[in-house]
Amino acid sequence: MENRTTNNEIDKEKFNSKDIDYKNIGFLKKFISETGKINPRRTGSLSGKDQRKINKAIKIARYLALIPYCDNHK
Amino acid sequence: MRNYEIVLMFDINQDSLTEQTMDKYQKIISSKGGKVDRYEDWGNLKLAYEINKNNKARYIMINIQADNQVIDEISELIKFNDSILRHIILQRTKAYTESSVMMNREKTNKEEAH
Repeated sequence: MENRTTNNEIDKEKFNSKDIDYKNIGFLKKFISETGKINPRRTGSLSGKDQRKINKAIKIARYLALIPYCDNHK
Repeated sequence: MRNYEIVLMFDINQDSLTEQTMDKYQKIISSKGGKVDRYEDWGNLKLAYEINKNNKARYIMINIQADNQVIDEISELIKFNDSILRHIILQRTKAYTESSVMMNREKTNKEEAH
């Protein structure tokens, strides 16, 4: 577990919590899976605080139909 | 006075009403002592899923400074407006005047493609 690496480690350097916004779709898409689910915190490298912000932003973007809820919408 | 951000999704089949309703709302805001900081038309965007059998909608976002009575009045009008598919009213901590990510999206998409 010591040398555990994550896919998002490269993104961590570029990550700026000011980018978290429901309008920033390209950015939010990094944090959802192929099926549209929100990635759990253990797979990413976000802090708890940022994960909560991301969750809120994704849920607003979904409501406004900017991001899908799942991959089998009619 | 608080800062609010309102996003409205208009039905593209009734597009002639869009400008009218936005003018109406802006007049209400300014007449009640409010102020419009930012007005953005994102244009017709493809929806991630169908809403009332619509595949596209016209998105308009405004950032305003207003009292809560103004917000109550506008939200009541939005509720009974048939040309609005969906809306959201958010409270913001500060006034936004710079153009949002959504307006710069086309530019960045092109840059990424190259």
